[in-house]
Amino acid sequence: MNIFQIPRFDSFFIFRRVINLKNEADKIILYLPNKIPIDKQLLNIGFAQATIAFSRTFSSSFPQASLHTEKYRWVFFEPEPNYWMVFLIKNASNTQAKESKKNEKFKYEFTNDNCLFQALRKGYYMFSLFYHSFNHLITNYSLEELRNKVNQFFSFFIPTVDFIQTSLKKRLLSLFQGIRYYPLDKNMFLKVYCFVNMIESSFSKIKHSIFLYGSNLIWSSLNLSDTNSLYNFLCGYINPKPAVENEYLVGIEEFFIGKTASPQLPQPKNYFNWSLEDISKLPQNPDLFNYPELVFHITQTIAKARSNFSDFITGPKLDSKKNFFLPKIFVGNEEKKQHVLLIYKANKVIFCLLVEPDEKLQTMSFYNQMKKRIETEIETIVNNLFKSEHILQISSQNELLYKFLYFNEMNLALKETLSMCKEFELRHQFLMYLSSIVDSFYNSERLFINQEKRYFQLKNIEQQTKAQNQENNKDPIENNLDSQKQTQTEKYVNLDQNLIEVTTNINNSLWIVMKRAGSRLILMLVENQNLNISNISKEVDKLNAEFFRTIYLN
Amino acid sequence: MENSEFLVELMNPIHFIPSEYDFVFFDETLQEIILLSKNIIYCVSLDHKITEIKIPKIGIENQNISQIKLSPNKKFFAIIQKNDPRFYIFSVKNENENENENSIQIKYLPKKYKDKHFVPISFEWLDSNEILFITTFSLEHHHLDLKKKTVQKIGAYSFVFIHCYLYQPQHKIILLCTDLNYINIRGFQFRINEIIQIPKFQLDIPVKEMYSKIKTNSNQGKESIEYKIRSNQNNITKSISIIQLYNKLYCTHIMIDESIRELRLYRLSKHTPHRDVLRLPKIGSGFSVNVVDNLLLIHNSEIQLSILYDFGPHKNGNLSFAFSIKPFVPFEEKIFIVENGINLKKILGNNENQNQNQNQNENQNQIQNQIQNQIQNENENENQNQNENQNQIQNQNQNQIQYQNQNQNQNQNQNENENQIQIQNQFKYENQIQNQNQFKNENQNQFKNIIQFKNTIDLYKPEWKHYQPNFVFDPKDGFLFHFELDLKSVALCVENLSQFEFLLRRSNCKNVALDVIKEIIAQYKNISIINWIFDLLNKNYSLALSKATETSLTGLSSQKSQIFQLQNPKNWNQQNIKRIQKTVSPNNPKSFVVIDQEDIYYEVFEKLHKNKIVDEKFLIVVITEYIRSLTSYNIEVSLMICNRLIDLFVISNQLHKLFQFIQHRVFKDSFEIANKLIGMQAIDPKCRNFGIDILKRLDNKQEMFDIFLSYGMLNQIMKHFTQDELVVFFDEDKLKIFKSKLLKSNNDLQIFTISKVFSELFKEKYDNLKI
Repeated sequence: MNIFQIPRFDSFFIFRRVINLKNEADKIILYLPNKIPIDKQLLNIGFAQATIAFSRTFSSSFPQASLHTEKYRWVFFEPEPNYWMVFLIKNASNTQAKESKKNEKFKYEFTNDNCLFQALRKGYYMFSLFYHSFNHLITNYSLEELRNKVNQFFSFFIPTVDFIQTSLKKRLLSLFQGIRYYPLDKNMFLKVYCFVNMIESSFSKIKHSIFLYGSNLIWSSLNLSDTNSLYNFLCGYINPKPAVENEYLVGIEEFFIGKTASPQLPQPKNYFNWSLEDISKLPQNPDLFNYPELVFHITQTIAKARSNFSDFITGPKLDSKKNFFLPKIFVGNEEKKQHVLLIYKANKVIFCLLVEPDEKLQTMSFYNQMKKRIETEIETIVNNLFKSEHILQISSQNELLYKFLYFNEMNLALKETLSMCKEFELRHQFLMYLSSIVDSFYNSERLFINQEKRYFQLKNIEQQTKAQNQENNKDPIENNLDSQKQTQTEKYVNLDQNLIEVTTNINNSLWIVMKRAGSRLILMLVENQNLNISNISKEVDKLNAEFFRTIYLN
Repeated sequence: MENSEFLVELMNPIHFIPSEYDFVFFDETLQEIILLSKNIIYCVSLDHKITEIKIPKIGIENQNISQIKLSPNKKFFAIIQKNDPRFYIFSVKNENENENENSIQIKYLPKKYKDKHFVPISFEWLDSNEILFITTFSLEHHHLDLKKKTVQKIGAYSFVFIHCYLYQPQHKIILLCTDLNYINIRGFQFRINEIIQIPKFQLDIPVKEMYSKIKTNSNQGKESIEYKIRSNQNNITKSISIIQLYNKLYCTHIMIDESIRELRLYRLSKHTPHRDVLRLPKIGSGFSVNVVDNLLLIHNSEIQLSILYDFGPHKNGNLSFAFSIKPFVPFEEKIFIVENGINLKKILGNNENQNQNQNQNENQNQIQNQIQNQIQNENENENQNQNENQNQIQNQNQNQIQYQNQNQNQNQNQNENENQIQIQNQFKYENQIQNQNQFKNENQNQFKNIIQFKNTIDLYKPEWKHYQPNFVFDPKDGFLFHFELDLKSVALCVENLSQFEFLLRRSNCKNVALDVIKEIIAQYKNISIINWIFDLLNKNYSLALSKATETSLTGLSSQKSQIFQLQNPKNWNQQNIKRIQKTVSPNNPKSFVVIDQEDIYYEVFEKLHKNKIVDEKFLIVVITEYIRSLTSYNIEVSLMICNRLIDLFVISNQLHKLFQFIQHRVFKDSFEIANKLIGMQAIDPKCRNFGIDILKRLDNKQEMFDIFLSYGMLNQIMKHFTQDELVVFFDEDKLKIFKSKLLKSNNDLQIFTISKVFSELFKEKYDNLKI
């Protein structure tokens, strides 16, 4: 009897490297699941530390890295100097039981290092959006406060991570932590921008704002890194759902719009099964709000909201006029400053205002004025956006004829029509191979190196990563594909080092074309057995002419 | 509004000494002062030019002349002599021509009608060859036949009796009062080969007055009736006038008695005139009417007050605003003295006038306040009787205006007040009074003659004659002024959007309006106000562009290149815009002066930025608002504004915002923008990608090649262009540049590959390429 087990979460831990600790356990900031005995925790942390120390003999710093063992996959991330976040994932396994003997074979191709690393990175930046940094909490508060906040945050974050990535789309989307921009014409875009300006200029305390329509970003006055974190929070983490059942990036409209309030309020999934009662018992700190409280507040406010809801989600509490719920986030280009996050929702529009902390925020008149100002203008904008959405749906029908993914590192713009590729979802060999190609194209570290340099210095290890990926990917291709003869791979390296184009055929049925031009990456799938490489080239040209004629892809 | 502000001032005063001339009057048709001295007519124009016209010996003493008027071409003049039933027409004396051949001397005696003698009342030159004779019983339209040296009747109308008449030379409209009650008004408009009758209408005069007049007149004999008519004629001609407001003609009638103090406006059109009523202040008398820049200016000579009314863009002439006049400005302008009709001297005003004005103002503040309160109270009472929406308007105007609501409410008001003019907006009514405006001659010795006869000017004198649109003629003291709106003072009063709209409807307001816009931005006022202002400007700008396109398309159909340019509004250049400014008429109440992108850029954005009046972030917001407004009216945003915005994004370190703008293609693709962005790659490498994208969209390979080469983008050159294209684009100089940049790259593989390709491509032409 064969028993197949998918990759499963084993543990997630955060520790710090401190010299001369009296108690070894003090280095642990978070360990999930916390039921694991402390000895086992320290053992794993010790192993991680040893791996890091060992690898440093080959590299002065320890950048993104993973460790592959037969049973486990270790993924490391050092978000701040001397702070480490580690994922420990148990590989997928196939157990053959013959009589009394069990023969368990582990398959590591179901887990992708880059995806897991991205999950770690995303988790950290989300955390730093709300609590600045690990070091900040320790310096300004205490180690205990850091542990509390990390515990609160990651207990909600970890359940949203997809460790399995069985579908192509999930895997790619978890890799490209992109932003979906709403393709507005300039007239409408300017209207939205000017609306935002008008609100900002009317209330001097407003410092930044983000304007979304559904899960699509229209405007953000924040820098790209902060925008991405807040966007991810708004789109996915307000109401996390089990990652296995749902898409990784869940459209915010699924939560915000069109759902009538169910009699039983939804409970956001979290690792410790926090309940409202538990949350009410959490210690209150005026400067540092409790993350579970934010998640529950938003989830329940939205659940209660009707379809024509047009009001603040955070700020004044809708059920009680006297109380205010004012979550604070840290954003800024050079120096991170604390701002109060006010979320206003009207139909599909999510309008986030980042306000300088002020006493006015504790008065209803402030919100009434602001609401009045927003309401007078936003209705027109919502109507216009609704019309444009309808037009967009008609015009985007052609896109469904192609299966492609477009990602631009410059602005993290992401666009894809991969949801149509269902028949390839479970071919793990294919996924493995595809991932290897993507990895060779897309090095996530390069993207964020500028933004993270204030915390740590990363060395550009592009060459090493490529080499590593190529090394990792050789075997699965050779082993898992039926015949190497059926695979034709053409790799063309141009004079420009930024440009790589790969055209691959798998099983004579699926062509994969991946093209990188500067910061842009385009992945295209063509399902046709009768095409040769020349035909594919024409198909790519067609796609370019149809959708990418306005950008330079040479 | 503060007392120190002036809304209307007297301009261009022309002075003459009446006693030195035999005959003095202001000719409305010529818009010149006519001074008759012996056998010379001096015509003094508003721009201070004096024309001397010698008249031949006609055998009529100047003292006997009742009326004399020159034809528009000043070649003829017509005369009515006292106690003479004939009209005389003579040609002026021209030394260059043979008098015998071309000079005419016509005497025309109107025929008898039912045994009645036609007594000449007046005449008007309709054209250089057409004249209108007005007699006690008829209106005769004659053509001047120069060959036969006589007049030929074109048309004539007979009436029971013509008591008085009003003539408006600009539109050639004559209104006749044809009954003893002075209520029936007949009107005619003389066009080329056409006389249009204006529908008859009645002046609304109370029964009491009518009765007394009838009674008085009926008791008089023929001669006494005539005398009475002349007397009443003066009254009625003083109280009625023809004015033009925003391309609409009105007959105004000032009705003052114990219970009524109103200005009635009868709209002159093809249809029966529609009457509107404007309530006048309850204090003062001696009202007279002028028009300044499409604003109704009502003078009150008793309390020496003038009030401005704006009929605004509302239908049926509903009144929307009222401004009071400030005292007349001390004559800072040069005064032109017509001395004996020959010399022209200039005197500068004295600053002491201002001090005197201030003292006078203080003394008269009480009266002003009374008037102000009265007008306000009247309006408040009227508004109370109306619905609540009007009150909202008051509140909005007094506070900050939310323009959308205001417009809605104003529309509601229009519907409710179609038949009666209401003062809806509560502007501060300044009731400024000016008794005297003294000015002294600083150079008394130099201008002795002037000192002898006058060194002060009395204003609001009963002798003043008000001519339309904006002239005041003082035959007694010998002055001609015209009123002009002091736009700078008006600009100072702009406190809300309606007032800004008011300002924009004024002619020549561009510079002042730009200053106001700059000031509003400098004060960091609510962005929605700026937004509204830009929309207002660009709405008119857009209309002007489309009008100019239509005009140009029809007018320049033979020039293909220009047609092409005009068919595409995106290609507007400054010459087009200048043409637009000329074509737009300021008389339409709904249209404003055209303020284009160049005006806004240089007068507002540049000055705000250079003088550091506002910070960069706010200026970005403002410029973006302007771009939004332009885009919403489908006007292409000029390159200079795009460049300025990009610079501001860079200066204020907001590149992430700039990228979103580029992403949504707010800036129209152009080589300039592409070049600028690629040049910014040192600031942020993303700029380069955006710049190349623009080049791709522009699809001009030669330009693209040049830009790539100038920035040393060798790989792009090799990738993007075919070998044939490279051969075409590369000349010797460009090849040298390419070579030097290639060698600097220190990329051996690149150098090797490219040099190999190039050596084959250019081996015949450029041997020196070998690397």
